[in-house]
Amino acid sequence: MKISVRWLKELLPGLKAGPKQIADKLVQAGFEIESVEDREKGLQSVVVGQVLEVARHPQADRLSLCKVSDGNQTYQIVCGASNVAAGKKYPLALEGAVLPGGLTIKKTTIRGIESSGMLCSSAELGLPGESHGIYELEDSLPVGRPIAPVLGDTVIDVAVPPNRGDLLSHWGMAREIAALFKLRFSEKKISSVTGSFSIKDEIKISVEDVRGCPRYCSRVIRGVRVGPSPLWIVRRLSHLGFRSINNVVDATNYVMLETGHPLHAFDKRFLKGSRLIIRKAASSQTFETLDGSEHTLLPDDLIIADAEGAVALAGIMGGKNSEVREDTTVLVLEAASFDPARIRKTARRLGLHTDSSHRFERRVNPETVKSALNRLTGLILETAGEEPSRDSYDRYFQKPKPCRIRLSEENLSALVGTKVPLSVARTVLGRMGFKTTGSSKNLNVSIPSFRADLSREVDLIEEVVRHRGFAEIPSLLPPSRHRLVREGTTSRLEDPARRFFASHGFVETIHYSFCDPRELAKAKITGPYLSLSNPLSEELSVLRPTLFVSLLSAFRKNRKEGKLVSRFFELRSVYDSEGREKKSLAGIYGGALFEKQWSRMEKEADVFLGKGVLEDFFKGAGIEPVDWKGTSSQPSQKYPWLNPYQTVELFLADVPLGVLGKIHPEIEDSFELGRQAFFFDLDFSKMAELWNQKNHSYSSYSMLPRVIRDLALVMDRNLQFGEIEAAIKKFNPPWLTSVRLFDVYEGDQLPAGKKSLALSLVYEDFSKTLTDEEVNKVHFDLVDQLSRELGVVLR
Amino acid sequence: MKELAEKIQSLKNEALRFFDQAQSEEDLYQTKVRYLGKKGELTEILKNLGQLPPADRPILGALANQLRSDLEEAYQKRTTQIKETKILKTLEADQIDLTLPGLELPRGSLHPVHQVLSDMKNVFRRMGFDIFEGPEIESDYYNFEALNIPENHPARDMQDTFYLGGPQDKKLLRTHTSPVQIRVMEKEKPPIQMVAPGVVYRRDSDVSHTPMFHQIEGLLVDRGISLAHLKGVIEVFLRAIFSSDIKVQFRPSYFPFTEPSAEVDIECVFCKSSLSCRICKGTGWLEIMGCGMVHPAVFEKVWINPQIFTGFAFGIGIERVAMLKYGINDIRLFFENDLRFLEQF
Repeated sequence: MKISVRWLKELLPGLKAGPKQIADKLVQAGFEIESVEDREKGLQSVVVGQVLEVARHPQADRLSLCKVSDGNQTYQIVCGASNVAAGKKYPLALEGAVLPGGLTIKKTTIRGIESSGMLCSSAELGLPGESHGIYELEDSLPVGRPIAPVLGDTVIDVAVPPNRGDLLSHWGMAREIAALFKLRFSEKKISSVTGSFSIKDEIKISVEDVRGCPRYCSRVIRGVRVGPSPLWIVRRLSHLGFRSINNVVDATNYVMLETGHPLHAFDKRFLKGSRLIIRKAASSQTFETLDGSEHTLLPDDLIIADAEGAVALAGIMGGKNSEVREDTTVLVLEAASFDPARIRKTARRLGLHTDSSHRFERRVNPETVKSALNRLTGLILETAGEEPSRDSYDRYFQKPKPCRIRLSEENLSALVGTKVPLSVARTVLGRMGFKTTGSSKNLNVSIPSFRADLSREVDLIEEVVRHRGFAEIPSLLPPSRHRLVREGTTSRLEDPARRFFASHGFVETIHYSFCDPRELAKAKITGPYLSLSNPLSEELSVLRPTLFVSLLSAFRKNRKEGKLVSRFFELRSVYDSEGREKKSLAGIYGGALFEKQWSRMEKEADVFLGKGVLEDFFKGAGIEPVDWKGTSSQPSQKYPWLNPYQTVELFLADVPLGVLGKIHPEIEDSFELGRQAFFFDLDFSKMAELWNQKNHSYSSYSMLPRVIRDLALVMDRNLQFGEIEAAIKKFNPPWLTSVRLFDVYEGDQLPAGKKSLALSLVYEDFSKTLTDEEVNKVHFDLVDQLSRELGVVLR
Repeated sequence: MKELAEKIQSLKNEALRFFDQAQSEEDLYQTKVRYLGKKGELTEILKNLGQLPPADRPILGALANQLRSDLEEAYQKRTTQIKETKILKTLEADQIDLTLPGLELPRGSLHPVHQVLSDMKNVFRRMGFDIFEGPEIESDYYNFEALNIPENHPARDMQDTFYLGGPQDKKLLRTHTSPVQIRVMEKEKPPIQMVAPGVVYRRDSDVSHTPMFHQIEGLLVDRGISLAHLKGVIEVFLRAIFSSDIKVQFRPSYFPFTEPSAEVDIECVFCKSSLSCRICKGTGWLEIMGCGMVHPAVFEKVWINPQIFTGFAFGIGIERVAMLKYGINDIRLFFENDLRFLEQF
């Protein structure tokens, strides 16, 4: 809501505060200030000037040579505007003036003629609205008067919260500001006007939808001459962001800004059957509003109709078919109260957010509908009309019950947390114009009709706190209750998990939860996807079922010249097509194990980096032993975005935990990754459950010396390490406590199709020192068993 | 006798010279054996001692013993010297260019939003708040209705909402973490003391808004909870997050689900109120969070009697705090996932 400080000061003559102080006070009272625009700056040395003579510039056809008076002196000014005319008055900027745009007025010579000063357009004066040539002022202004109070203003844009519809007017704001500055505000008396004919002579009105329209008032004005508005109205509207249309429409807008009541004027000629009916649209139909757009109405929409059909969308916008035109002579004026929810529903559906719907949605006070109509009638008579109807139409179906709220000192003090005497409340509420009665412990407060947002005691407590401020409230800590803080496992484990991956060289990302369905399809992640019904764009239109495409994007985007290591992870929610959420922990990596550096640690990352990191992660989490399923002999088809020969699934006792694999070369190409990349995806929610069940216990270790035997076995290159490991486990030789693979060799030293694995085996006993003979026996028995079982030979 | 004494003296000089010349522990040992060993020269002399006249024996015996102890001492001294020299050489051989850069291990990082969130969760854990989470895909009821924002109420304009699927199922992406309040109050009876961190969504995208951001929500419900408690808890929290002497102010505000409501400002961390500060626009204050006393209409929805219990709730945007803490000027940077940004944290 934009407020004009000049208008405000007209309403509150006692208000001495400047715009900045007013804005600060509003902030303290709980309103946000969007902006404070000073539109007087730069107008200080501009005065009303009168052009005495206009002659053509001898050197230039388009320029005029003017003699202009400021009341004291006459200046010679060269003017380029086509609308300059002798006898008229214009803003005159004299030598030394600095205009809002920064232009400094100096004595100059234009095409050989001296010019001392400038006649200004509204744009040159930094005023809003259209600018056609120099600004023609009204004749009534005395020559030489400073222009700032006439043309300038300061506009404060206040964000009015949705519960305070009463502040969407200058009267409402004046009332609030008066209370804040301890002033008295009295609404302007509206003088009643009368005429000779009855409204019934012109129009028959009926309200059919009484729920949708609790009050409807109307009056007719005859002998209307539609034309431009007086300049003071044009200027005021323009400062507040309204374009001047004509004297009738401007009057409705002006009175709306003044009283908060949206108003409408129909051209009587176009109301068929001389009827106005406030009713439901009843059937689906199209309707053209006066902004020229077509809308489809639904049966439940509230409309104003004539004998044939809709002439206005109630409370939102008038119809093209009945709008006031240049040749309108008889007006039917409307002031009403409509059901806020109904107006909002229709306005939202049609995407029509108007000054009128904005106010009706936030409730317009039904009590003052009639006086707003009177005010409008008066203003139109002043600017455009001749004769009003003697009477008005006024049907008031649901008069709100007077509201009284009890406020007790006990409740007030308890909620604030310190004793607040009721006298304080009485003063604050009194300043806002609330009548109070009662004792020193309990107040009975009569709520005025414009404050329908107040219905409970706590609403009054809020008003008291708002006006008194928070500074006087002490800061206390609630009594503490000693107990164990509760927290979900997922929440508790997220931070340690994140720290683990960060300390293993992974950079954490946070992507939007929405993604592009085309990217998902490209990544071979099949739908259905969970779509937003009103996305910001196609790129952000579905909720991601996996972190895969997000991480692909981070990987591609951060591929930098000369940067070898690339590792990212994310731990956030993903969503299935049914809207079920779970936390996923996924990572992508590629490139080298280390950056290129002088100490030469040159090795490319491969799937075993991920396997190692994840094994470490699970070990740290106490989730063991994890099974890695998926071998190159059984390519996995479950993950079409991964290379089936380098994909392993992770299980804990048949519970799937996730997958790790090399990204499919097709994806690598289509996403332009530029290098091989690897991806893992863990079901973090599931993991957190298992983590929670973790039951870790200590196992003792042997104090006696251990015996270490290394073993190199030659075998078919297709034989997998896992098979050797499983066989050793099966044979389970005594004293063997650990098996560690430390070399894999294929090459010239071996026959083609063979490879060698080198293992380090540790034997230990808890009760005696093992002898070489004992160990040798067991060790070579194992070798024999392996060679019988798998055909391996000792190298 | 004189002859023998001279021999001892010359033996001593000779031995000491050899000790000095020895360059390794091995040389030195050989020298020692040569003079003091079982077949050493001193031993030879001592063997011949018996042939001397008895009067001379003690004198020469003393000389010979003196010689032995002198040589032993010289030997020990030289051994130490040689060891020291050897260590010094070893140390010198270790000389390297220490200006070379250290081994560069791949360095990961934590996202600044999660770092701030993690700090906040820790503060609240220490203050005794339970930590609960709720779904991001919410129903209209939990996100709006139950929070005193009925359908067709203009307060809905305060939060542009993303909807899922058709209008009939009314599923949406939560616009704030406040629905978790409702979910917890439905299940638990007061006293309730909890925070709910999480992701929220608003259909908004410009320089200062992203369609997704993070919040942490707090709720404390008990008998006798007042605005003074709200002030106390929030001040303690903000001082823990920013600095122990930061100034905090409360301004009245409006939220449909709290009453009275307030915005909380902290003093500008950038300018200490210089008029030209772009961050606080010269006011010296930065808006940091919203809060208020739980609205009785909200309590009524979850069957908590507002005549008996009162409570407060608050919500804070994580990105906003991260921006202030790290001096980040554009909220969109958090979600661009550019390494040049991420690796700074």
